[in-house]
Amino acid sequence: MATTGASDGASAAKKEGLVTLMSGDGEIFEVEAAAVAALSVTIRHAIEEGFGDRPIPLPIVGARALALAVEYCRKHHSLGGGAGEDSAAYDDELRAFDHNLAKVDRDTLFDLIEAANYLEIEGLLNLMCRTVAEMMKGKSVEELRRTFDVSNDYTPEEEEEVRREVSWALD
Amino acid sequence: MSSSSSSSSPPPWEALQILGPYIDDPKTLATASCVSSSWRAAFSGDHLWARICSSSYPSLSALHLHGNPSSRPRALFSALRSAKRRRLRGPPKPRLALRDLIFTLDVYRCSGGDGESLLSFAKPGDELALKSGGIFLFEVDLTAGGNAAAAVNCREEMKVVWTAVKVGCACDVGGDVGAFSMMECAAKGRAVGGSGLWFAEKLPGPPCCSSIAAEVGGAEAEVGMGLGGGDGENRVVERVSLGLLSGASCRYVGLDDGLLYLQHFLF
Repeated sequence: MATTGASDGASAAKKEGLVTLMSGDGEIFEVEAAAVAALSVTIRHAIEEGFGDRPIPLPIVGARALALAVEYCRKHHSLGGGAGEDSAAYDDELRAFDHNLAKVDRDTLFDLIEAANYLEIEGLLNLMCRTVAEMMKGKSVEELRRTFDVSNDYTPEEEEEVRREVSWALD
Repeated sequence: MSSSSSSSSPPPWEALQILGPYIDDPKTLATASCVSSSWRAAFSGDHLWARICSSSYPSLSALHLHGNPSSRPRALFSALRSAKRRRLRGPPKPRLALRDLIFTLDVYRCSGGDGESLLSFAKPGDELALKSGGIFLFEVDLTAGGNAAAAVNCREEMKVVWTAVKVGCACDVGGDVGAFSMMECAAKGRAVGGSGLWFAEKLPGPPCCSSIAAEVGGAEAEVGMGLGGGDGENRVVERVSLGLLSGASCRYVGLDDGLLYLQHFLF
């Protein structure tokens, strides 16, 4: 896990191979530059543009989502893309890691979708979106509202109209 | 960013926008677009449905080139998907019901040229007894009260006129829309077993798909007379049956099929 804390953020950023990230709610994360740069296009670009020695602000990413995203990057950087005799075992471990990560609560799931999209971590975005898509599959309109706590803001007439447009899908 | 884990809040619209392209299943995407107005905004976008269209119906890209560029991909996909369902569903239920119809039957003597009426009745559809469940075959009992007994000569040529009249249209001006001639023939009845006399006439195919109807043999109207007592050739008609047969199978068509057929001519 990243060491956190705003006080030592500035000095730690100068440590060799580390990069400092600042979440939207102000938490500082010091992480291995190689790991996050390999998986996050946004952070790679920030480092390339000279952010390496000062905190990279990530205004729309909350601390909790950022911690999980960093964990994802670390895990996939250390185990992923590896060739050789260990790659099959690594694949299994990564699959198990992804599977566990996808079990987060629903709010975190959507936070991670936004975070992965902003940070451009393709694998994480794919994992989270597929997870939500799978949760949606086979559910009726009412079940979707219940599952995702969405209130119906249609008038009965409007709802009838939107349902008629896609009546082929609704029974 | 909201991040309470105890109670969940609805997904932020930004996340829904991101999620859209990851939903490959058209049914899921369509259902999601009905959930609320923000879900509709997220899941009915042209870019999403254009992708669904081109993977389900690659031919649609040609339609975009030659046809109407303003067709929204979601509407196009819905139309095509409904088209498939329409085929699976079979014919629609008829809009015409039996209670909308009156069947009239007139039988005249042909010989002698005086056109003497032998048998005549008008029967509202909802009073007709279905001979057996679900087929277009009705029986009128002439021995029951109100109907005058009719006598016919089995060997004589008769003119048989059976008309289906749509209720409410009978007195319309120029009202040929409201009536359809099921049979108008002058013939000797075909005797069956000594107690039945049958008349049949080919019907035109429905105007909308006449070539298909002709291929399967069209339809045939049939009037049967159930004969009772009498002397030799002169017999009393006790019952009349009115039926619609499929030319291909020589069987009575289903009631709904018969009504669908009549609907073509009566609306």
